[in-house]
Amino acid sequence: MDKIRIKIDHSKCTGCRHCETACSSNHYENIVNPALSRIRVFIDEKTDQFFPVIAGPFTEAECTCKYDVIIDGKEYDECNVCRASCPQRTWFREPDTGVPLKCDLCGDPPSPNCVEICNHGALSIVEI
Amino acid sequence: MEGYTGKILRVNLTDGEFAVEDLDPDLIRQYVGGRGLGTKILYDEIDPAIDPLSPENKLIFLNGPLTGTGAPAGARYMVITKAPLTNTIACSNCGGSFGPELKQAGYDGIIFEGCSEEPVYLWIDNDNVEIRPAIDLWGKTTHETDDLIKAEIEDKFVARDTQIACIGPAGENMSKLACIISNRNRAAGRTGVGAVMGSKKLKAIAVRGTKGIKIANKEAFKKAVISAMDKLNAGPVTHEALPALGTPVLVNIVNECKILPTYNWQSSSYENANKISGETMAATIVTKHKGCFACSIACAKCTKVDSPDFKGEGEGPEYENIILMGSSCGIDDLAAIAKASYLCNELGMDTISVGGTIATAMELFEKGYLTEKDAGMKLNFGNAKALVAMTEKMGRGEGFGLVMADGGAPLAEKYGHPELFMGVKKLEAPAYDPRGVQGMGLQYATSNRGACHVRGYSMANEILGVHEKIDPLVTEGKAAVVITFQNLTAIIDSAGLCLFVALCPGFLYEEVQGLLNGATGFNYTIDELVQAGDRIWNLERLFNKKAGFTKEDDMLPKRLLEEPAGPNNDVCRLNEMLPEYYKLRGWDNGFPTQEKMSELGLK
Amino acid sequence: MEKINIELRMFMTFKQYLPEGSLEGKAKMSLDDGATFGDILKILSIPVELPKIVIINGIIQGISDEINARILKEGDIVSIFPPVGGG
Repeated sequence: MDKIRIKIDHSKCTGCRHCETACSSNHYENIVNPALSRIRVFIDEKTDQFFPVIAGPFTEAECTCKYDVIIDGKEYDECNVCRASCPQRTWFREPDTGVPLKCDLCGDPPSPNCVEICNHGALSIVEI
Repeated sequence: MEGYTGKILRVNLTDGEFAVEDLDPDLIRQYVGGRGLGTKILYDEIDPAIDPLSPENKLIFLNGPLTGTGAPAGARYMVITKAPLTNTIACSNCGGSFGPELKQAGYDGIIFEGCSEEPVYLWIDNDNVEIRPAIDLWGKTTHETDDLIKAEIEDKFVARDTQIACIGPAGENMSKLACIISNRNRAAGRTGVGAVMGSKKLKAIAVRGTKGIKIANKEAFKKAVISAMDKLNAGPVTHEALPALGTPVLVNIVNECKILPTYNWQSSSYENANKISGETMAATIVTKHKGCFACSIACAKCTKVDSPDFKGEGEGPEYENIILMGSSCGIDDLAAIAKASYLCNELGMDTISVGGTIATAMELFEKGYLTEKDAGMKLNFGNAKALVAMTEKMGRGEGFGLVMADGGAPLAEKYGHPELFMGVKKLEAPAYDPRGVQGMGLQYATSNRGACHVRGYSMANEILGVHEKIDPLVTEGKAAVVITFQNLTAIIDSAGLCLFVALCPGFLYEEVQGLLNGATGFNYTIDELVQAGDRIWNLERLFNKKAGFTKEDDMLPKRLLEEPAGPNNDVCRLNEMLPEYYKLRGWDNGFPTQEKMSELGLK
Repeated sequence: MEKINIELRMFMTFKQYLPEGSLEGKAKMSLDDGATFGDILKILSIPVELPKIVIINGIIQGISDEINARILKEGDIVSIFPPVGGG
């Protein structure tokens, strides 16, 4: 199960969000909904930067130290690219129930749907 | 209902009321969605003879069943209304993320009626719908509007998911070249739909949705998505040419085939084409590739211009406006063309029509019919600074720009030379000279919204040989080819897919059928879809008939019919194709016969 | 044997097959009288099976077997593209 990781190459992402549709339709019966996806693409439309972020667990401890990240010369609040399903954000929580969402490296053997659908090489699987 | 949300939001801007209505499943099945369904609603609800800028006109935003479902290139929403530029039916079609988000909010579309007294914008957050004042937004560019609406939203993560479609100053001024912009740089471009939005004092629609879209058959749909993607990835255009260079990849090949409009179509090849080609663009101003929602092609190109005269950044230019603003204006400065495109996006104007209108003005100027005093500047061919300056004046409705902002046809008419307007039904023609690609001439002449390439792109076979190689220089058999592309396009548009899927060999009805059936569970047969495409085309035609159009309006500019050009030094031999076209369509005198109408279930 | 002169214009991925020193994707070639389009492919080592769009003097050419046998004449302009599209 933990023999693979997902590698994200944000320079190849085109911001199309196909991964979001693939993830949600894989985890829910007959529904497509990016709000239910465990991968979201943070898009800065002003600079055309695209960052896929994969959901992980939230712990208070993670947030005790906040930082800013500089990407291609522009400064972003860490929260923009953070993967925690944290209560401060609408992302990575079911909109109706607030239940936190977390990537489960779906498929058996793992073959995450987001990686399968990504046509631009932004998501790939690496063995560890 | 699957694939669809089954709901449409009806907003009356005169009294500020709105209601959610159910869509009729029988109607949906007959008209598929988007372009087809929107045309049906408009046809039933308005008198096609009305003034498009009057409160009686309606403005319909409508998704297709595949919009936002994760079908590859399924990102499109359509804007259906009566067009101010052409007085025909209008359906302008746009990618990005706005359509998918609207569907996530629970609506297949929105019908706007009436007219607000004060500027407003519509706010939609799932079931929470509000008509909000937009006095502070009036006068702002599309980019400023996007920023200001998002800045008002308290939760910045909600703001991030919010998608906005809006007009710029051009739409507010009711310029007949005004478009609707979403995601800052994506446009529902042609025929002046932005002016209708402006006439209703509707500045923007902001939407955020988290409801989800139901899919009828998860496994079948997934299979169809993978099959469609495999096909797109095996297609050299959809997998290599478009992702690498975007639409400007066409500049060189169209020039080599001598069908590149140059100096307002006085010539059909351009000596400096390489300077404005896709290759040059990729090597100089492209910074990034970008895709619309769930698109496996990603043809959009983010660009940046550093030269001090034309500094700016944004998306594009695209092939069509590189030619209309470039070679057709005798301009080989890619930076200036990019700058003019950025201005069009920010001010909210259709880049093709703006380029076409400026090219007409330049020919009027060169021939001495339009003076520097009238124009307020020297509008000679090749004047890159004038292109940019005039684009801005048109977008803001300043000086002579105000005259030009209503398009090339009234301009050429005003200065006594209507023959210098290069378009059909007052719509400026896109960038393929039919004197060297005959089928496109028939397409321009018969398209229900005027000279348009995305209603029946016979170029795909005539020049590019995508599905089948056919000779572009002959007229034999072109009527059937054009009809096939016109009907197929009607289905692709109505489904919510991007037309570019049809640039992939073999991406025809079968692929669309697979996706539609997986998403909707309708079990469409191919015959049913072919007939639905035919039905949509015929209904658009009937709308135009009631709007007062006649057979005589299916006519190309004199230049294309009388002045030879192109590789064979030929004219467009429209008269050899048009009668056959009408016959194959089952039309008499340019319009559907009673028999044809009952075959399609039309009244 | 008499020679004919033609102009070759290569685009995108085909640029790599041009003779060395060619500028802006263009090259002049001197061929034996009676040379065919297929001969150009041979001389420049362009794989015959590569999908391509061929335009000679502005006229788009038909299916590949026919193009390869096409005899060239003095002053011909031959343009070669990979499959492209857009709009």
